[in-house]
Amino acid sequence: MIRSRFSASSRWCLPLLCWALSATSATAQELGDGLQLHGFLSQAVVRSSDNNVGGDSASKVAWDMREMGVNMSWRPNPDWLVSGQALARWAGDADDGDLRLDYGFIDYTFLTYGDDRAGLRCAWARSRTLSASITLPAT
Amino acid sequence: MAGPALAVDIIAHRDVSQAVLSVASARAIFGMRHVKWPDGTPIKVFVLADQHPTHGSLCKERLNLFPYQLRQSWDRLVYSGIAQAPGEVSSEEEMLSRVASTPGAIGYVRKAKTHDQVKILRIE
Repeated sequence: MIRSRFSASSRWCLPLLCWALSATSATAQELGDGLQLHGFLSQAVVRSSDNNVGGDSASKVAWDMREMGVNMSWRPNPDWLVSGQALARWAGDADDGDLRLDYGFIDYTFLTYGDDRAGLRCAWARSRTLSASITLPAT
Repeated sequence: MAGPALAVDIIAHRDVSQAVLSVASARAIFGMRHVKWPDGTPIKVFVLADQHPTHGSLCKERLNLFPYQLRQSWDRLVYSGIAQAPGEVSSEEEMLSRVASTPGAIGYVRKAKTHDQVKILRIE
């Protein structure tokens, strides 16, 4: 789509005019017992002169890109943190709003020294791989 | 020569064993990166709303940050799943009562009175 519009228009490889807005709202809820729930909603509004971005933006204002996420975390004690995020995204043909697991973490801190700590984090990421890493967060 | 009096006191639950915090530790605690006291007690952080003047004073006078920097840091940690957000209270009265009644709690008020049932932490 972008290619055909490019060849049909001039030599400009970038839109002459393009404006995009993205409104994001995040909110949090404390559920008690170390359990927290957070969420966000992001909506893009795009208008461009030549090339389509996030919908039919070259001929009208496009509202087709948006993202919603729900994030939960549980800290049963200071050394453990279990967290995960579910995400739905709408963006062209690639993302049609299907709910998916964005990531899941299990984080264990085995050593705390002053303001430094060392730990092990098991991660389930979007690429559907399970990985483990040793973390040494900087202070 | 003594500098100008600071407007905010950092307060903690009476059973918290520490009496002095470095600025770096205070930033790590209010930045939600440091989650337990040296004796192992979980740290419970309470904050006022970002727009509250006392929150602005805490950030600028005690942590050398702007409130928006703290907010960005919390959002980044929470939405990447590596830390939790602080508990938010709606007033300084609620701050005092929550910090006084929650073991391991830390918070701040504009000049704590000596009869308040909390401990005032010195920042160095």
